[in-house]
Amino acid sequence: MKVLIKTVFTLKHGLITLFSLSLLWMAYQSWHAFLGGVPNSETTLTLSSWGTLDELQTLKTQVHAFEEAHPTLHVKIRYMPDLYTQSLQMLIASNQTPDVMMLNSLDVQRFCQAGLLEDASSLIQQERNAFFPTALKSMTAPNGTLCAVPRDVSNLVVYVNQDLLKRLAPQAQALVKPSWHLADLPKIAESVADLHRPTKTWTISFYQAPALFWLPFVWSEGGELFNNQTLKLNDPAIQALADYKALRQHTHLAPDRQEIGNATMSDLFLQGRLLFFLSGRWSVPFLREKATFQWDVLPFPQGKSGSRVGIDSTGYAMSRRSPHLKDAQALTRFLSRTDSQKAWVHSGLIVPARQALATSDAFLQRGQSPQHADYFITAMPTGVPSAYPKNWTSLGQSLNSAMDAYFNTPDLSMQQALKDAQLKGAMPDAS
Amino acid sequence: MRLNFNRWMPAFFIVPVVLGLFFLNYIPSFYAFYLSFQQWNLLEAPQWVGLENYHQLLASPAFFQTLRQTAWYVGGVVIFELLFSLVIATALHRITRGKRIFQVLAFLPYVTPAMAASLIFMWIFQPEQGLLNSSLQAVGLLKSPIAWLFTPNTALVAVMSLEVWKATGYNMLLILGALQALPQHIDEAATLDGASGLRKWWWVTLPQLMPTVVLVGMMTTIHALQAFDAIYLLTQGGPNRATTVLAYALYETAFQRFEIGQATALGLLIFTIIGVLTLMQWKLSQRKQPSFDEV
Repeated sequence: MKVLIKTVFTLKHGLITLFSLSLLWMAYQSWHAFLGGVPNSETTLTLSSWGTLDELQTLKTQVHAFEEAHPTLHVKIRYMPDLYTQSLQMLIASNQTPDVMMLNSLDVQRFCQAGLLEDASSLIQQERNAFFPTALKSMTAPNGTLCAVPRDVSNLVVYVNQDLLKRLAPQAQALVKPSWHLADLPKIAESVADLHRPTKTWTISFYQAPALFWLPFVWSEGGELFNNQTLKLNDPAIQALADYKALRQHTHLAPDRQEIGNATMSDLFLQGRLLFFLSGRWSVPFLREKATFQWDVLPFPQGKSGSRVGIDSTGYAMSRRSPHLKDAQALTRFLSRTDSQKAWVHSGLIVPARQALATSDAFLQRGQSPQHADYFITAMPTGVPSAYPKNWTSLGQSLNSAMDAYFNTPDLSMQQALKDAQLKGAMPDAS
Repeated sequence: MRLNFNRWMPAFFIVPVVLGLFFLNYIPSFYAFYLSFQQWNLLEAPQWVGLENYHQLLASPAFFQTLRQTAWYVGGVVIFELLFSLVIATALHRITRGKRIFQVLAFLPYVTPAMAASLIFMWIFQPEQGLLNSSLQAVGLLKSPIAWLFTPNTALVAVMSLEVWKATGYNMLLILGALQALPQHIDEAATLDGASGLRKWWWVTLPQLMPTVVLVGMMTTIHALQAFDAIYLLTQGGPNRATTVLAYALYETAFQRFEIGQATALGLLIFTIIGVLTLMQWKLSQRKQPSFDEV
């Protein structure tokens, strides 16, 4: 033994030992990674997801239930809380596509058009009507293939700080109703004498990106961004964007970038500095936890074309490259059933994609804020299901850049902003 | 036959490094060069597009705006880092008490994690309750608060200040090391000849420090050209793209637009700029310095 230890610890033999061990370790790791390791009777499926730690816990519980129901299947969760799309695309590029992926409708469309996703129609053939049609539409490729089974459907509503409204604008309360109009916003602000200054409290939140937050202002006024998959704003869209910009730059109903600083809109709403806050269902859990005032939700105000917000969806998609497609289908089916969606609904975080569940007490959660959770559902029929052109990742960045400049530079015209962002053809043709 | 271990031992040390360099550096670099002629979105198979990526890049006004901003950023960072490093190193060289403590204090920002430093600077530049605005308002230098990080004219300067704050300590140590290694007799001879103060520092000390200053300047330039973390954490390239420099534009092109081909073309351009600067540094370091002993 002593000789062995002496030999190992002699420098040259030690180096040789270390080198040999490294080679052995590398060989083992390569074998494990590329050949699948020790063969056994279990099949391992990979499932990718993002979300908070609470969401991960919900997912783990469901995965555990799935494994119990399918003893020969093991599910490995690839949890990527930040930069999910980027990480996922890196995995895809390196041939490590997860068998099942949680994807939003934008990524579903992109991945599906790239031929990466398996048709999911057969999984819900018997119960297609159980899902919101808009949710299914946002998960469907232009060729009609259903590329993912929707888990939830997300749209935007207006969160109202009821205490602030009562305190600062009691006479404006009559205007704040489900059938309210975009034109009511300045009237509400007018009736609140000290709303803007010196208390630095604003009427409504303002986002310059992503487009999902300013598109309702465009769509509700009859505006359109695309013409045959090409970015081409029509005249109502130009006008609606000018009106939206005025909220920040002219009427000052919304905070400007300097006033916001590092804060987020949800911060300002929580601080009681925003009367109305445009957001989705995802804001409910933290408002329930942190808001110290009474709050509720209202539908987005109506414009000339009614109240139209975008309808996005999140769902489970199966990789076409998966070597365990049947098992991936079983997992997707399991995660999409009513009980699984109910687990998510319980947290208050999502609007379920299953209609019956969305209209049940499990979702409406009477006795808890928001009092009018049904507005998340009534917004569906007039909503605009997300449909993005194939080059949206690049186009969306250019559009964000143009809007960033346009919304924040008082004298900049839309034409110039689009030109600066190399989107010259996006302006309406001169008539 | 017995293996001559001593003869082969250097290989044991060199081979892992060479293998690492080969697989993690050279092969990806050549692959990046190959990718710069392709169109690839990380989802579909890459498509050969020839010089299209380079053409698009050089035809884009946004690229030249980014290049201009990078030049301003690099210029500002290099000038201020060198200036502060020289001043602090000279001061520390002269003091006799508490030298170590001041050295540690000056070096601390360098070892502060970028995330923590960015949070501190976010707070400093916060428009309403930030340290900078509050201080300037308290002494009457500012009437209304400035949103340093959210105003196109000030955002780049604000980001630069973080980089200068972080790296000055490291550069100061290099210059201080060079200062301490300077022969004393030249300094004494200059004093005997009547030189003193700033004149002596400018005409006697600085010329001797020049090789180190050039080296530090080039290293800072190369580092500043790769600036990413502070920009990502503080401004995300905004407002109105005012803080989008080359390295951030590369990230944005690759991982937000998913235009990998164009991103690698941009990466190769940054590589070329850094390569030229490194070559200049090498040439400058090869130049013979005047020796006071020969005078």
